Amino acid sequence: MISEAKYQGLSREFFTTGSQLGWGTRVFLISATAAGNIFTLPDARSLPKGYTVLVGGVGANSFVVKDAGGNTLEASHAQFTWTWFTLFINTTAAGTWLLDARTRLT
Amino acid sequence: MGFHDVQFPLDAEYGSQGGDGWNTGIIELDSGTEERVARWSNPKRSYDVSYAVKTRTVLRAVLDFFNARQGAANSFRFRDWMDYASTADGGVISFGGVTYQAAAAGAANITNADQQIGTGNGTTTTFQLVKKYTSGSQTYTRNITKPVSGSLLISFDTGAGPVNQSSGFSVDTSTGIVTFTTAPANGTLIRAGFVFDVEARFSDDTDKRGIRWQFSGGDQVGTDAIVLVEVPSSSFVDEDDMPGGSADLGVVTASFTVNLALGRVQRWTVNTASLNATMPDGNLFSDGDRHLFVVNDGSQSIQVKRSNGTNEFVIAAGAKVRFVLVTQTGAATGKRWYGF
Repeated sequence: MISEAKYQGLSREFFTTGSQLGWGTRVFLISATAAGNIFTLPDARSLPKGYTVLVGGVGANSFVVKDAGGNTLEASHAQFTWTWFTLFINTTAAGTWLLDARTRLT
Repeated sequence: MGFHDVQFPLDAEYGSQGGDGWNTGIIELDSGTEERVARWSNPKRSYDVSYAVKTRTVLRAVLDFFNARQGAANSFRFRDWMDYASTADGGVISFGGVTYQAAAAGAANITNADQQIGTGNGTTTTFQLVKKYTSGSQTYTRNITKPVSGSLLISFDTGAGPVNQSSGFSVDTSTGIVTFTTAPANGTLIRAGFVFDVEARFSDDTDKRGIRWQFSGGDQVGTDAIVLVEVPSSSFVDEDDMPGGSADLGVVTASFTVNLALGRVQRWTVNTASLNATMPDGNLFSDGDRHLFVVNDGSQSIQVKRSNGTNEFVIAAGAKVRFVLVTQTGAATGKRWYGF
């Protein structure tokens, strides 16, 4: 049988408040309840290098994305924007994340 | 660790046992039907060479070889005696002052026209050695990355049959890439004959357990299984990035239903306007990334639809699109295929 992890096919979460993103999910559709809500990536030390997370803004309010060390990665993630975060270094909680912003096709 | 360009002791290869293996994921659905996914684009071969290690001399050579490779740390050349030449069977082959005969008497020897490795365009000077395996209407093409030095034969065919090329080319025996000093002319069929090895390493189990031998007196010895496994070449699709292999659908002339089982990396050449590609029912799959990567190499765009016929997004001509499956709430609730 094909394992779920092989497809990285874990279910998305739908946030309405600022919080730390869980490591078990790869696709996050985020709807912030207020502009400037902060969403924090998982502790990089708990993840393998190369781990990817896709963050999409689906609500009207923009939000902030930070690493687990409190560093701002995206100061204003707007609605209808999408960014892949790929873990490059995982020796610290913050780690080093590479950002790849894309436009969703319509 | 790396690749040591050394040959596994030939004495210990005769009598070896092995075969090709694939990795097919089979998803059994609630209905009892199934979806099959070819996770690998190429088979991975494995061998047990213990059958050939019957004397102290051979055992000593294998033990020395094993330790020089630091167990499984470094890969090496292994001659697969069922498939080591550009011909269907290897016949009798002589090069470098050594004659090999693994095939039955009368089997065809390699020739300079065994495998077509490309077609000249007047500018390209490098071509990958390949071997094709055909059964019925299906052909599997294997990249040959470890040709044997001195075995390569090359011919050009401009329509009048193969003409041997005795010079003007070289081959990298660590990659199987043939480089010509002058680019073959446009339309020239480039063919090759060669002997090749498999890049292999000792298995994890043999690495940890070691080569367990048994002394039987005199020159007689025996061993437990000594398993070697093929090291995939870089031509394999990266399993961590895109499981499921790849597929080239060629020129698409009609609307179609996307079949993920063909491969998770697909090339569509859409040259006809107003075509649709209907995705499979998203409820059959888990949410997430990396379900499919499509390259549209055609001159026309194509509309991607959900299984219920709803439009999802358009793939423009020349675009490369990554598919992500999400469960959307609110408008258009349900499983949605997003393209990026």
